[in-house]
Order: sequence, then structure tokens, then C-alpha cells
Amino acid sequence: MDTLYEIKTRIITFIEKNEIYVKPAAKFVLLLMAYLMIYFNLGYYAKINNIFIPLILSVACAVVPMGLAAIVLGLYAAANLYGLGLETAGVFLVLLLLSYLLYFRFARDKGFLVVLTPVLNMIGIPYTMPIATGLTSNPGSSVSVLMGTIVFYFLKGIKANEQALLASEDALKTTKLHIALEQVLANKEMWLIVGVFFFINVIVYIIRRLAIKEAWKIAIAVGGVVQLLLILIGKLVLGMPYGIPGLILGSIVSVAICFVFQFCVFDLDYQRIERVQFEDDNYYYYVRAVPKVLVAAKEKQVKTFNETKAKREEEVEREIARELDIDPKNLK
Amino acid sequence: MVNEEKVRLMTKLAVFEENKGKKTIPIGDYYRSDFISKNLLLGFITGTIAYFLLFAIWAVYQGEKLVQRLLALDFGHIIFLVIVFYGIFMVLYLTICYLVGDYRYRRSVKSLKSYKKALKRLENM
Repeated sequence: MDTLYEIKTRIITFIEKNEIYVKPAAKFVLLLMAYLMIYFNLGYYAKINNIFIPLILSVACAVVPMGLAAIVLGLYAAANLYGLGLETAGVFLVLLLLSYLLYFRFARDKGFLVVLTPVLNMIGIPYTMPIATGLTSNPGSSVSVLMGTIVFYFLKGIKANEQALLASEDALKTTKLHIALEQVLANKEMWLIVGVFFFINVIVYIIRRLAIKEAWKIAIAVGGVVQLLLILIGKLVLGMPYGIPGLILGSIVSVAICFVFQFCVFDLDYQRIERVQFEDDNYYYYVRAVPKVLVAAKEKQVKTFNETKAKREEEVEREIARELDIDPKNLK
Repeated sequence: MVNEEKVRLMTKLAVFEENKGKKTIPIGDYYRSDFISKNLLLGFITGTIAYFLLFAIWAVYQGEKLVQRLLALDFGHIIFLVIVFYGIFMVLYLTICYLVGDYRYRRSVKSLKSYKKALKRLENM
């Protein structure tokens, strides 16, 4: 356990010291995954179907605020959907606009959750999200996770119906519109997941705030088990008995990730190095405020216990120095 | 001669201004009622736009059924439903806007109190 704490402290110290590089790098990796997910699965618009576009956009968005990066990512996805018709891209843009109007007006800093949720969905471990947000935030932030889930299922539905959307080139535009809207309004699986995620988020939030021992661990375990059971029952009731091994495996991995997350985040007093400038009547100040935890980090010290051996060596050194007529310090 | 204590205090204040203060300090310029009213007004505009977007989505999705109702000259019933749902939606949404605004204002006032205290201490140094 001590080794784990040591590793944790080292990682935190590394992040604190190199925050200026670590933060954009993490953002870059997340955005790159999201952009590549769109590029490989939804690259319907030939004019922008070039691998350099997602690469350049992920580099550029890594240095801007996450809210703006999420908007650019959304527009890139909409541009790709335009290849299937204006209707599909339009429905997607309306979804984004709705989420901005109703939620992101209040919480612009939660944009990364909308990007992270579809990425984790793609990997098969979206069940991490409601538990992790319940642990670290209030139930309000679950809205970002729910929006990310809706975006993922919409895009998944569009991918599954690409043939119908491409074939209905000559058909009525309302057919395309209807197919696109169906992916949100008539997607039972999506609404099941959205409902369960919201419920789990609230449950985890309530349990981890209880004044009991190991509240965080209990919250993760209860959240993980209840989530798995609810989705399983929901799938069976709704007549969708597929993907169950993936669901069970994904839930187990998600709970494991949440335990690691809890270990890393719990009682973590994260303080970063601050660089500030100010002035008074006499001076200009350029201050670099370093958190005490970094300064106090001890370096390893080697202490020799075998004193007799060390003493003997010292005596030999002194004798040689006397013979050579030099200062014994020069021999060290 | 640099006054170390003063530098320490000024650094803390500057760090606050650079981070949390960016959102908090502007809220301090408002009275509580003005801040919440502004939030509600913005909520009313965005909520109305969002409701009609949602209505448009529903109308397009329900296409045929809606046309049948319109053909049956059931205008009154449809308009009544649209207005009732608009009312319910806005009451819910504006309540959330009110609660969020109130919570933010109270939280900002709390941190601004200590900020102002620190500023006064700096002035007296």
C-alpha cells in the first residue's frame, strides 16, 4: 500500500510541477480520440475527409478552453454528417444548440464531460462516468454526461442507418429527417441508459456525502452493482438481450477504474504553481508561488550504518594523504 | 525594503483575482435581486427558444399525425396544449435558473467578504 501511495505522490508532484505541459497534453489525447472516432466512423463528407484535419484540430483545440474545444468538435461532427444530408447535420446542430441553451449557459467548464462520455462509450466503459461524476461533483454535472450519452447514441444510430440515409437521396427530405429524429426520440436503449445514469449519479452523490466510514468505496460498489442490475433488467424488459457480456465486463472494468480514481482523487489537495504579477507604490512584483507540498518533498538520503568500515576507509585516506603531502579532502 | 508579509498577502489576493475571482468579483457589482432578475430574464429568452426548438422537433417527428389533427381543424386543442406545456416547461426551467442564480450569488458574497477583508488589511499595512 505504501508503494502505491508513493507512486500516487510522485504522479501528483509530477503533474503539479509540469501542469503547463500535462494539461494540454491530456486535452490533446482526449480530443484526438474523439476526432478520430468521428473521422473513422462518420467520415461521410468527402471534402473534409482528410486525416490531417482531425490532427490539426486536436492540436489547436488542446490550447483553448474546453468549452470552445467541444463546440469545434461538434461543428466538425456536423460537417461530416452533412455528407448524409442537410437534415441529419441539422438535427445534430439543433441537439447541440439545445444543450447549450438549457445547460451550458450555466456550466461552461463541464464541456469536457460531453466529449469524454462518447469516447468512453466507444471503448465500452461509459459506466465509469455517472459514478465518477457522482464522486467528484454535484448531480447537476450529470446533465453533461447525459448529453454526451445522447450524442453518442445519436451518432451510433446514424452510423447504423447510413445505408437508409444514403439510399433516400431521391426520397422525400422528411424521410431523412424522420430517420435522424428517430435516433433520439425513439431510441429506447438510449433513454434507458440516460435514466439509469442519472439515477446512479444521484445515488453515488448521496452515499459519498453520508457520514459513514469508507463512504466513497461504498458509493462506488453500490453504484456499480445497482447500475449493472438496472441496465440488465431494463434491457431484458425492453427486449434487447444483446451486448450483455460487454455490459458485465464494461461494468467490472468501470468499477475498477472508479476505485483507482477514488484512490487518486480522495483527500487530494491539489495546488498548482501560480505565477502572478502585481505592483504597489514602490515595486513591481513578479511572483512564482510554489505549493509547500512541492518544497517539502524529501529527497532520498543514504545513511551508512556500517560505521567501522567507513572509519577505516577514512583512516586509510588520511594516511595516503599524509604520505603524498596533500589535503585529505582532495581524495574524495 | 520589501515587506514580506505584504507580498504574501498581495500574492494571495492576486491568485484569487486570477482564478476564482474572475467569476466572483463581477457578481459583487450586483444587488441580489438584480443578479437573479438578470439570470431569470436570460433564462426566459433561452428557455423560450429551447421550447420552440423542442416543439419543432416533435412536430416534424409527429408529421402525419399532426397534419391529420390540423385537417380535422383541431387548432384550438393544439394551441391549448402548446401553451400549457410551454407554461409547465418555463416554470420548471425558471425555477432552476432562480436556484442556480441564488446559490451562485450567496457563494460569491461569501468569498468576496474575505477578499474585501484582506484588501482592507493590505490598505492598513
